[in-house]
Amino acid sequence: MLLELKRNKDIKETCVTVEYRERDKQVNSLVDYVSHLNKMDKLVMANAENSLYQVNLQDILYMESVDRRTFGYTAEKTYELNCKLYEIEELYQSLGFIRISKSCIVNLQKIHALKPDYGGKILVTMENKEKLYISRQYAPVIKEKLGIGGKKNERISKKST
Amino acid sequence: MKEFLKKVPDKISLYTTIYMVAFTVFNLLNGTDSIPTVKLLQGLFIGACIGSWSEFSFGKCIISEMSLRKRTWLFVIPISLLLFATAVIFQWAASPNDYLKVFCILLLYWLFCILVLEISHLAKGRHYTIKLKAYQSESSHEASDAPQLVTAYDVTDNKNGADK
Repeated sequence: MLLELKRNKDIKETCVTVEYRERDKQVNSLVDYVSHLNKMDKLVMANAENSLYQVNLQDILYMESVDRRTFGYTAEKTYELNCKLYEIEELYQSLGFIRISKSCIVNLQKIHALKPDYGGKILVTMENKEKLYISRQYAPVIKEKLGIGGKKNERISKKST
Repeated sequence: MKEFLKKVPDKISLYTTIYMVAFTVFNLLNGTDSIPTVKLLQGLFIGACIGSWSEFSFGKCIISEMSLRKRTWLFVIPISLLLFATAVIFQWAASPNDYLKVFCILLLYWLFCILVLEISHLAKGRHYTIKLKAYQSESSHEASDAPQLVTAYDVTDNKNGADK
C-alpha cells in the first residue's frame, strides 16, 4: 500500500481519498478507521468493579484526583482511570475538559448551569444536578474560555481574534 | 510594603464611610440631629485601624498565599475585639438598648448586602449559563463534523466509458 500526502492550502476541509484496485479487507479497515476517527479519539480505558471498560469521554461528567488515583464520573458509574489528571488536561482540553480546581477537571459539555459564588468561586451544576465549585484560581480561565468577564477578558479575546 | 501603603488609604476611606453611614442611621433612629466632632475623629481612628487590617488580611502584599476562610478569621477576630474595646472606651452607648439598636443596624446592613450580592450572582449566573450554552452548541457542531463519505466511484469504469 502506498501512502500519498498532499498539502493544499486552498481547500477548506481535509479530504481523504482511498484509491484501490480491489475493495479488500485492508481497504475496508482503512475506510472503517477513517469513518470512526472522531469516536476513537474520544475513548478512554477505565476500570470499574474489577473490569476494564472503554468509556466514551463525552459520557464523563467530571474527573477527580483522590489519594493520587484518578476517577471519572459518568451519570451512572464511577470509573478509575489509568492516567494522571494533568495528562487528561493536556490531552483532552480541546474536547472541552477544563480544570476547575487542583483536583478536578470538568466536561464543559455536561454542565447544566453556572452561578458566581462568594469568594470569587463559581458554582457549577452538572447535568445530573451534582454541584461542584470552580476555585478562585481557575475561574478566570473558564471565564476567558466562555468569553465572559470584565474588560480584561474582552481585551484578551479581541487581541486573539 | 510600598504596594501595601498605596492600597491602605482606599480601605481607610471605605471603612470610615461605612462607620459614618452606620453612625448617621443610628443617630437618626435615636432622634439626634447633630454628630459631635469627637465621634467623627473616633470614626476616622476606627476606619484607619480596620482599613489597614483589612488590607493586611485580604491583600496579597504581605500575606501572599492563604485561603479566604483563614483570611476572614484573621480579619474578623481582632476587629471584633477592637470594636468591643472602642465601644467601651469611647462609651458609645448609654444603655443596653442602644447596643441592641447598633446590632440591629449592622444585622440589617449585612442582610441587605447579602440580598444585593445574591441578586447580582443570579443575574451574572444567567449570563454565564447563556454563554456556556452558546459554547456547548458551537462545540457540538464541531464534534458532529465526523468524516463523511462524499463520493464513491470507479475510475476504471469511467475511463473505459470515455474510451468507448
